[in-house]
Formats: sequence, structure tokens, C-alpha cells
Amino acid sequence: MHTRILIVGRGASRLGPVACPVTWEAWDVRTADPATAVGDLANPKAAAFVGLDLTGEAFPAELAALLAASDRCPRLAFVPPAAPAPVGVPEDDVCPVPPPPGAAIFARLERCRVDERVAWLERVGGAKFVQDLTELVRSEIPKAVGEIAAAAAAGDSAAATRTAHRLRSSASNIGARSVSAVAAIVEAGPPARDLPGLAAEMRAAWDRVAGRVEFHRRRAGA
Amino acid sequence: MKRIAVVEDNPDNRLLVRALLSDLFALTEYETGPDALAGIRADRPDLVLLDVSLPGMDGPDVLDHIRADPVTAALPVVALTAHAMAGDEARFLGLGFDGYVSKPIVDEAQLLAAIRRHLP
Repeated sequence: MHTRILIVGRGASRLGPVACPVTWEAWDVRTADPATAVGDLANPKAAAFVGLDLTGEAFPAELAALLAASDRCPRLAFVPPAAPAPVGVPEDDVCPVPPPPGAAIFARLERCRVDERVAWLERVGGAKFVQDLTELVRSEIPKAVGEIAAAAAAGDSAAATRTAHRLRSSASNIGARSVSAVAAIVEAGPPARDLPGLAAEMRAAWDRVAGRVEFHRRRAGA
Repeated sequence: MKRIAVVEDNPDNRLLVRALLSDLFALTEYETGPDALAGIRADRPDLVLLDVSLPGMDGPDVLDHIRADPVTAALPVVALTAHAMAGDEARFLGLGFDGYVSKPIVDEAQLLAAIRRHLP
């Protein structure tokens, strides 16, 4: 049986080679625009959802509702990385890249995933366990993301793949599903030229939920 | 109390397994395959929970060593793995694992069932 990956949005076709490395050849990857995606996502035969390109498209409320109700793993793709500052401009004075339309809804969905996971963790292990786990992942995840970025910059695909496995596991444990989804792609061994972009996407995905993880760490320790 | 060896390199996975199982079983944790093999041989547990993707000597290699040693050959070994695609369970059972639990662990009952099914 094929696991289905649906990639939605303008530029979705560009995501195909990135989202579907050769090791996932059994997966049925297709693309759709947001208007038709609502119907596709409602189809119970669509077993997985890992791609979501929100750049430049309006984000239908129906799509958000379906995503919120499903246990599929949305992944925000193609958030443009910040342009490098011209020489001489201080790093903290770089013009920010505006978030893509729909990004706020997506980020809220991601935070919900963290909340759901933390609720389960607290039920099975208690507040002290949540505090310990969040303490661990809030240092482990940025460290692994940094290592993958460094490996990507050095063209060291093997190192990126090794670290991505560890990162995927840690991110899954805390419900950071977009981080986990991108880590899975890095782990599957994409072309080396895709690694810097994936590393940037991974960092952005962590930045979207890091505050929520920190919130739960403080709450559990209170 | 039955004894379980947990072989897992990721500290947050060890923390999670500890939270789920430490009230029910006596756990011994190992971070690497070689450490696990030495420890399991010296202090035989009732079951091994073995991460498949360990750095250096990976899970299937560790399993081969366990099966090749008469002292540990009959130990039930349950794969703990983030490889959770269709077909992965059959693949790991084909390698000689007795059971399979996918990560992230999302259902404590499923983990307990996999352990209890294979505990002597």
C-alpha cells in the first residue's frame, strides 16, 4: 500500500524532488493547489500529509480546519531565507522577510501539536518528567539543527544524515512535527545541494515552536 | 520484578522509556552496542529493548551478537525504531527481532503489550 503525500500550493511541483527522495519511491506523491486540496485532505485514503507551501497563496479556512482535526504532519515549505545583509550592515539591522500568507495559522497548528504531545507526556510521566524532557530537547534540538547546518555548509551529507536521525527522534518526542518531517527528509539523503535550504527550513520550524516548548518547561517546573 | 535492558543512544528516548517503564520493570540502560553486549552478557536481563539505529554498531549488528552468544541467544529482543514505514515491522522481524515498537512512542499500552508478549 502506498503512503500518500500531498503537497499543496504554488510551487508545489518544485517540492517533489525534495519531499520524495529515492528511498521513498513507494510513496505516491502528488501536488494540488489549495482549492482542490480541501477535498483531497478530506479523503480518508490520503494517509499522510507532509507538504504545505504557503508562499503567496491565500490559506482556506477549510484547509486549516481539516489539518487541525487530522493527525497528519503538515510541513511549511519554502519560507524564503533572509537575504544576506549588504557588507557593512549590522546583522541585527537586516530587513525582515515578511511571513507568507497563512503562516500564522500554520504556526498555531504546530504549537497545538506540541501541546497535545506535552499533555500525553504529562499524563504518562508527570510534571517533573515534562520538565526534564523539555529541558533536554530545548538544548538538544538547536544543537542538532546547528550541526546539520554546519554539515550542509561543508557538503558533508553523511554527517547531516546521522544527526538528522537523532534530531527526528527528539523532535518527535516533543511534538515538533515540522522539525521531525524535515529531519526525515535530510535523513533520507537528499542531494547535497538541497541540504542548506533544508537546514534553514529546519531552523525556522524549530523557531516556530521553541517558545511553546519553553512555556511548557516553565509551567511544569512551577 | 522483571529486568529489561534498554539500548538507546538518544537521551530523551531513554528518559521517556524510563518514565513509562521504571515503575513496572527493573531497567538497565546502555548507550552503545558494545556496552550493551558486555552488560547483557554479564548481567542477563529478561528482555532487551534495542534501538535499531545506534551509532557505530547498529541494532541489527547488536542483535546478531546476542544471537551468536549461547549465554544470550534465547533473549527476547524487541526493536525500538523510528523506521515506521509500511513493511518495516516485517523487515525487522525478518532480521530476528522478536517484536517491534515504533518511535515516537505514542501509546504506552502498545509498548507494554509488546514487552509483555515476549517476557518469559
